[in-house]
Amino acid sequence: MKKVYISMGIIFLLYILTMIISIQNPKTVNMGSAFLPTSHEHLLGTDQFGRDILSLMIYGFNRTVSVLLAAIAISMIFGLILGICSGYFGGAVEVFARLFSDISMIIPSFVLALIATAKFGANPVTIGIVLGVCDIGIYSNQTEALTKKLKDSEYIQAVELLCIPKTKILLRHILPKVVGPALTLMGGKAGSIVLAYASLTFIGLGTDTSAPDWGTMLYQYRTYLIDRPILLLWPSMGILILALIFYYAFDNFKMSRSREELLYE
Amino acid sequence: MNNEYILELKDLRVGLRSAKDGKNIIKGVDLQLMPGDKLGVVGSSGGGKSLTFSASMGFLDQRQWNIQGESIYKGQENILTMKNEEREVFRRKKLGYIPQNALNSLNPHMKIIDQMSQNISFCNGVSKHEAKDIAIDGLEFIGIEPTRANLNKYPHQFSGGMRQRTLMAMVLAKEPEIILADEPSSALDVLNQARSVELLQRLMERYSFTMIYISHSPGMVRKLCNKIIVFGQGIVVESGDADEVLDMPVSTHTNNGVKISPERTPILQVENIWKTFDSKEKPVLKGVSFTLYEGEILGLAGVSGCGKSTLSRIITGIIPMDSGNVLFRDREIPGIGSRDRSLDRFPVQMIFQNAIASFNQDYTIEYSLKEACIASGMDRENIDEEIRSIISECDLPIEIIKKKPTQVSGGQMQRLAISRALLTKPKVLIADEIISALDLSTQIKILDLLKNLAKKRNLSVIFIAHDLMAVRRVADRAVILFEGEKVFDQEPQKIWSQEVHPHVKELADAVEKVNLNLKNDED
Repeated sequence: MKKVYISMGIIFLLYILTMIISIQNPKTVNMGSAFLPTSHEHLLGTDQFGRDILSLMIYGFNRTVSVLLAAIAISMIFGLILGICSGYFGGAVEVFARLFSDISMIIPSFVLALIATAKFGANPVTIGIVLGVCDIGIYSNQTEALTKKLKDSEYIQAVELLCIPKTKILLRHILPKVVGPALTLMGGKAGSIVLAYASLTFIGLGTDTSAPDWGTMLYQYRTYLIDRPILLLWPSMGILILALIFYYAFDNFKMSRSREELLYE
Repeated sequence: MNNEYILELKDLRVGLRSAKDGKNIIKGVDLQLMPGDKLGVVGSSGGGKSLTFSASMGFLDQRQWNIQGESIYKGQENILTMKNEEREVFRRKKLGYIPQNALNSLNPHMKIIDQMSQNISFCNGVSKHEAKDIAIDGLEFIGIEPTRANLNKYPHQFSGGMRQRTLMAMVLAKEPEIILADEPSSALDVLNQARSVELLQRLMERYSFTMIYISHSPGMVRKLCNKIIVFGQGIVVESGDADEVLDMPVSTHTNNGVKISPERTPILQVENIWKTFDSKEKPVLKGVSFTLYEGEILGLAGVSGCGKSTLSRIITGIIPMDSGNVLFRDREIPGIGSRDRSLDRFPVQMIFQNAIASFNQDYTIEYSLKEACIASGMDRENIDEEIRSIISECDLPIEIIKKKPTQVSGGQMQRLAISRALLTKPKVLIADEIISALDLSTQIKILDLLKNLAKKRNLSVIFIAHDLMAVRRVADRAVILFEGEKVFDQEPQKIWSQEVHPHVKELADAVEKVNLNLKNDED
């Protein structure tokens, strides 16, 4: 749990910070300062348009995290609800859930994202929602399988026998045990979401190519792959590190551990 | 002629016309019944019980039977000399007949509800629609929920006991003046007999009718009747008030089987349970039935795989049965998720084999106990006090509730499981192999605890175990299953007697081999 708190805390803090503080307007073009190396003023140097790369990275970070938050929120919340209900109640709910998850996994998220941006404009939240919806199925399937297994366990039978209301059972006895694996799943998928967003912006999803996304940066710097590869380094690293942090943080996640378990960790 | 009597038999003699020696089977019976009397007719088989009353109601074909004497209804008419149409009206409206074997009396091709409605509408003269409503009420009264499934059932889909009671309901729906019940429960097993008796008692409270109850069980007669006549070889051997005749048997006829068991009310009835799991071919349970009486501890034993655990889960409603009934005080226990299931309507709780696994291991025991209290509707202020008192009753230190299940020993956890169950004030407790995983001394402690609690709170317990010694220690009665069938249903000591099912003998011998101290057992 600790590593989750720390890593997520840092990311969230940075997210908030980057929304409030602006270092340098990343769109400021200064052709005279093109390709400057690292300096006090430009901690990561400048690109071919003289834009401060650090600022670009920070804004890109911000937008990427927005996408992440939106996607994770949608897919986890709905995935958990759908999974728990379909696993516990079965019947029509299960049929619907399976159908929905199958469909959502078949439809290519990429294409859907493109369609969505064509309709609603290319902002991180929209894309995040679309990506989230496409992933609901994965969470719901896993949660459903887990819930079904839990349903047969003795403590659930005991608690059902005690006539504890179903909402309480779902919220207090099932949800806490399925959230963990869902978060682990999320940690693994975070990387792919970051990458998906970068890919979307790479192909020029946004109408405004001056918008500072990591994917856009990769696109704009790709011609300098041989000459000035360091330009490409930063956004690539950004994607990699962000993905790795999530993966590491949520690996084998458990809600709470008894002292004995911690002993053997 | 005395107008007070609803039925009077005067020197009734019955014999077969074809009998060569011309002797009568019934050799002169005199009887007077007041309205509202409940007459018990007992006597050994062949004594003439059924024949006398079949004759008196005009059931016998007078071409085959030679009937002499008089059977006078309400001091006015002699049933035996009625014209056919009159007699038919009498039988339809005034008489209700409950025969011995219900299955033969019900039309196998008609749904029960249809038969009932038809009968009622014919006898009472009401419309089919009204008749159906009356029939549905009748079914409810005998404890059969008028669900869609039940209403569409055919006679063979009901258990024997249910059919019998259905017949009773049909008869009573027409509110007859006289009910003739001819050994109505003899074909049923003990538990169903008890239920029939109960039903009749309830009906007697509701309606007033005169009843002639023929039976060879003095115990049932005692419960239902205020008067008794005893038949022997075609004549009335004794007659009088039920209690007098039964308590001071004068002739040998009444002596037979006067040993009447003490007042026991059945609290849980398991009827004819069948269960096959989808993956298997052989049924796990094959028509298992037994009764649990209030305040008793019933030991359910058998080797692994005999169906005990499945049965316990069916009884509590955790898994569904294929066919059969589980009734708590005459009400079918709904399954675990069902809306009709509530703690006060069905106070049945279970204690699992693995106590630790039966609690949510992420929460403290206190949490789980409080959860149980809240679910049973306890007031906030009382919860702490209740928990405290039950914890100490189960011989545990109060601090233990702050711990989590994994931090507590198996024996303590089992007691905590018992405490949690007790917090919901159950009437029936099912202990599913709760001691198997414990060491011997802890086993004994838990057994004693269970026994004490049960007696103190008048709980009925089904104690499931494969260890016969444990059953013997704690149970008032034992039921043994073998390959899904019941092979034993008596006091535990009888397991070691001679006239038992071969499998029971096998078990008894095995226990003796393992437990050399059998003969020196302290109890």
